[in-house]
Formats: sequence, structure tokens, C-alpha cells
Amino acid sequence: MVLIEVVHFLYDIVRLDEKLLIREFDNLRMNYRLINAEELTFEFPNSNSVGIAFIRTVSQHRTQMLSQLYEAIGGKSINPAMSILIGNNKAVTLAILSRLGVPIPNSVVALSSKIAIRSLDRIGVPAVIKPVHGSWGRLVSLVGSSDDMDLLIRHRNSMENPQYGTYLLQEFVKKPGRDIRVTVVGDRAVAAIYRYVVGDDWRTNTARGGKAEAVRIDPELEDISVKATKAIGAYYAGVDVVESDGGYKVLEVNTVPEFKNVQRVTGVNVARHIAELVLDMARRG
Amino acid sequence: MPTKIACQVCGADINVPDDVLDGELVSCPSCGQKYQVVIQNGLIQLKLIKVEEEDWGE
Repeated sequence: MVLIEVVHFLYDIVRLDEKLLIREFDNLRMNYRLINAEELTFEFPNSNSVGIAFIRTVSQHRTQMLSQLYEAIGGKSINPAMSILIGNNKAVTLAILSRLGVPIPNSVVALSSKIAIRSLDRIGVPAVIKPVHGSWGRLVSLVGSSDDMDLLIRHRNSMENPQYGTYLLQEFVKKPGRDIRVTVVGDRAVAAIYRYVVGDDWRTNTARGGKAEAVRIDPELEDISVKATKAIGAYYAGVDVVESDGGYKVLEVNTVPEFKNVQRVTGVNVARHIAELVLDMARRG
Repeated sequence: MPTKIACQVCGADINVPDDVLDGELVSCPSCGQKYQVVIQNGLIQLKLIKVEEEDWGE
């Protein structure tokens, strides 16, 4: 007899992505419970029943907390807590990708404003300056001179959150007005889209309104996307890739990936692939 | 029949469909204010939300 565990589908805001996943969970007749993370408590001793947590919360802090707690009480988290912590930290992600030979843009992580200014020379201008945490292109800046850098640092210094004291400086990859979002599920890149810049913005996040088009996935693109996903220990992910003169380069790996645009543009039922992965893990326990 | 709830900002009717899920986002068709759907004991309420929290993302 195969014991199939109950999957805890954790959410806070239900986006279209979560609705598509819920539909496929139902289609597969999965044994799952929808749990609003805002209603959830963990009580010690005698903690909650251990299960598999499928975490789809929008708040990254909440996602990290949930995945760690589920694993701490002996349960399982999809994605695993360590992969979520790594994926939410661009500096650590790049360090691991670099160590495992996944191509990335030249990057410097600076732990103070003083050293960030000095490090600009190592990257050259234009340079992309990012916070180590954060999503949807927030606070990502293009710096064209050391004056720009001074201004950016003055702004950062006025922000109370200490995480803005760490700087990720990155070479600006001359991409052809677009980047690629590859959705990896298990060992496969199941679908990918080009995301085009909007107007004179240079960022391509579809959360910022970028247009999208289906990508024919070549073996090289599949290889680096799957490698990047496995490098950080994720079961599934949204991998951001740019095309440079020297080939593909991975920018980041998203561990609670949005895929509604990938699904809409490519016609691939990404939600189905993810639901099947979760079902498979629930069967294996 | 969808439930009609008055927008807290502009007073226009917001149609909340029958198959709405707890946690889903809806917005006012008139002023665009976004709300999170809160369903407790079968009762549908709308919670005003900021457009984007600092740690929201993928």
C-alpha cells in the first residue's frame, strides 16, 4: 500500500498562479488542504501534525518562516527551506552558481557603502546595482557614473532596513531588449518566455509590465536552467536568464515562481507539471 | 449570483464572484482600489490592501 500524505497548500494572497495550481490539484484528485498562512499557528510542545508543505505565499519573509518551521517539526517543504533562503538572497545564489560553473554576469558583493563605491571600478559602467533581497525589480538601479553611485548610496544610507547596506554590483549585460524566464520542474525546463523591456525601461520583469513571447528551449538553455535550479536545491523554480555575447547567463533563481505569463504565452500547462511533482513527492513521503 | 460589496474608497459596487477564494485579490471597477478577499464562516469581506508590500515577490 502506498501511503499518500496530506499536502498543506499554504497561501496568503491568492494570485492567478495559485488558482491554476488549485485547479490542477483538484484535477489530480490530490489529498490537500488549503491553509491561509495568516491564520496559522505553531504550538510547542506537541506541535502541529507533520505534513508536506507546498508553500505559495507572496511574502518572502513568511515563505522562509513557513518552510523552516515545517522542516523543523519534521515535515517536508516544497521548495526546501534552504533553497528558499538561497533563492531569496541574490548574493548567495550567485556564489553557488559560480562555484558550480553556471555562467553568471561578473558580480561584486560589497558589505558597506564605502567598499561599494570602490568596487564600481571592478565592474565598470554602466553597472546594475541591486539589493541582495527583493523582487519584481524593486530598487534595482542602473548606474552610469560614480556620481550616480554616490547618489544611490546616499539614498540607501537613508533607508532604515540594514539589508540595504549590502550592495550587489553587476556588469550590465547588453541583452537584446529582452531576457528569458525559464520554468524548471524537476529535471526539465518545461516552458520559457522572452520578456521584453517596456518603453525606455531597461528592466524586463513582467511584474513591471513587460511583454512576453514563447521561447523554443535549446539544450544549452535547458541545461543551465536545470543546473541552476539543482544548484540551489530547489524542486522547481523560475530561472531568469540573459543572452550575452558570451552565451546565456543566469541572473537569479525564484523559488516561489510566478508562471501565469509563461503558461498563458506558451500554452504549456505549467501548473499541471508542478502539481504532478507535488503529487509524486506526496506519494514518496 | 455574485455578491455586491460597496468600495470603501469610492462607494461603487464591487462584484465578488461565487467561486471566489479566501485570499484572492479583487479591485474596484470604478477607482481601482485593491482588496484581499477574507472569507470567515462563509461570510465574505474585503480587506483594503496596499498595492505591494516590501517583501512581496517570487
